[in-house]
Amino acid sequence: MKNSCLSKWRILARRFSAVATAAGAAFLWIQLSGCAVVEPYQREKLSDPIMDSGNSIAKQSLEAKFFSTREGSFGGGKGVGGGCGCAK
Amino acid sequence: MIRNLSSLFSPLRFFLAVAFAGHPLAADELSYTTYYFGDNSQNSVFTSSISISKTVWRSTLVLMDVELDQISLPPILDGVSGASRPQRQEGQVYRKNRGQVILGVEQGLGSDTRVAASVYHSEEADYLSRSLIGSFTQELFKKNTTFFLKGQYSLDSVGEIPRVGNLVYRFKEVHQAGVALTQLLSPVSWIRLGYDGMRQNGFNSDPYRHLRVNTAPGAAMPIYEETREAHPKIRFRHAAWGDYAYSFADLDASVLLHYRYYWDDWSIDSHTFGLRGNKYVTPNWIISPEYRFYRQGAANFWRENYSSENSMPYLTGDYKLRDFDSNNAGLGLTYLFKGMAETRPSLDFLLGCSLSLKYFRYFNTLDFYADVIEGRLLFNF
Amino acid sequence: MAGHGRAILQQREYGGAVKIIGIASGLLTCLLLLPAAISIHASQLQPAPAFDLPHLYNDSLFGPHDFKGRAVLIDFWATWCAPCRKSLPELEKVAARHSGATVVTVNLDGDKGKARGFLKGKAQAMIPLYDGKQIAAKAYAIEGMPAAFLIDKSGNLWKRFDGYTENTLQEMEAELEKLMLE
Repeated sequence: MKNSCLSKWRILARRFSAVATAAGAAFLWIQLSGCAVVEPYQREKLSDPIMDSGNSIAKQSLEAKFFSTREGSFGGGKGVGGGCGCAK
Repeated sequence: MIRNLSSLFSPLRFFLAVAFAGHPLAADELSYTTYYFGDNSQNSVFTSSISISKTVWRSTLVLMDVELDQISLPPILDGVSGASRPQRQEGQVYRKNRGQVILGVEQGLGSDTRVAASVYHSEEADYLSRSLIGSFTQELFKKNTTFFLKGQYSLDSVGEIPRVGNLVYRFKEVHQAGVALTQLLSPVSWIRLGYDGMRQNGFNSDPYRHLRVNTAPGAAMPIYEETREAHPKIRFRHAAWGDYAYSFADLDASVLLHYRYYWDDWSIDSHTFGLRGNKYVTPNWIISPEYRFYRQGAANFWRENYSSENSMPYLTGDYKLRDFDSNNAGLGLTYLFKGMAETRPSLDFLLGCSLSLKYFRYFNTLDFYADVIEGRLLFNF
Repeated sequence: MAGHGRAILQQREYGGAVKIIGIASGLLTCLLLLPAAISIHASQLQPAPAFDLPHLYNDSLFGPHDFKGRAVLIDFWATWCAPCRKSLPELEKVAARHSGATVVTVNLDGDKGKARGFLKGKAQAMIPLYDGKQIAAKAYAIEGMPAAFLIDKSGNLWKRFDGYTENTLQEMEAELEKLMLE
């Protein structure tokens, strides 16, 4: 019982570290691959409503509710940034 | 096969609050959203929601959201069903209302840092949910990179209206954390990577859902005994996901891609692929077709049929814990009022306003389908 | 030296209270003052970067050299930037109140027509310029939108403001008045 519990934790830890490593590697790749800095005045297209992931036409939370009450999963798709970058 | 909706709104109420914790509070915004859901089992939900966010002083923003749901479930036709409803009223259409309030405040600390906190309360006849949510946003490298962190604590009181007697409550605690990193890749593209984790501790079942266990396995005529479902008390859930957006500047169009991998310690894992296109058909109208595919594996204790022969500590009547695929296809239409505002100076206040309509059909491999219509009116002031 | 000794003594006597007040005021500063502290004072006065940009409504070219001898406020904006849209009507009022100074707006939209549509009837006292190729924006090393720069009568960069709040506007106007008097 103890062993199976331990191995379950090991699997979880391995999966988590794999995800964390992938995310870290992706971030480093983005930062180091010479991605040009996008200046604040170059964000006309990025600030357009059609580039907003939250612009799922209706409120995102209603869709999150819809899927989470009909499927066994959760999470994903929430975050900020990527838009105008304007300073208010 | 249990294909009825296990519950329209009872479990995982906190997703709403999560959505808000992750929602970048747009300054000075008022929105009204309405939503209609109807499925092939005659379940329906009608939702109305009003949100307002307003800068009250310098970089302090307050948010309030009020939402009301009207839920209607059909009469249960047979004695055993997956439908989540009090057995007391099983012979008639069951209607109930649900109310929800979110109050939040967001504080800017300099031009690159924001912290937000909100409280969430949701209430209906047999379910109570309360949450505390906090988030932290840090802009880096001239706002080319955005780091977002959120945390949440929820306490749910899962009620049961018994056949006779008073309401019985059981409890569930939920801890949740999420992190997301958004990176601008070019003046026309960005990528976002994130991870969400959740630990549920407590009553993870549906109090009304019953299932049948064959107590005479091997016999010519099975003998069924009705029993309640029993889920493990603890559930660890994880989701790693990524979004990518690209603008086709010359076409006045964009494409957004989404992928999510989910896994939990009940052995469920799933893959979600999403694709959305947006296209300006005129300077003020945006058309947005979208498609989503979902595939999940079953929980290790899920069985099509339970029998007393192989007795198990956990039993479930929840179709969400079995393996299935689902598809979701929709079409959205958005009207931007800016054209109207630009031509008439007296309508200046409509500049950041929009009206959106969306229809989508959801269907899965369990013979379930649903139609959803959403409408939203947004004012920026 | 004696004064220094007294200070140490006082610090010991009131150490606890000072710490609490210090922490509290530090937190308050973080919460309240930092959001407003968005202007950066130029440590050394440098000539404002030169440019020649066309007027939004005609082909006449303008640059900082045209306004020498006057206090100048240059505001970089775009129609896709919400705080910029909020700031422009207020800047027009500032320009109308200070006829002795010059308020120049530099639009950075890809499509000039959008800026024209938005500014219709709103730029009577300001001078609207167009920088579709973002040459001036680059020269001024803009770090946020909107971005405003104050230029003194000698043509030197005096102060920069990144972003817009009511506070920024008040500070901007006060500095502009100071420059006009110099």
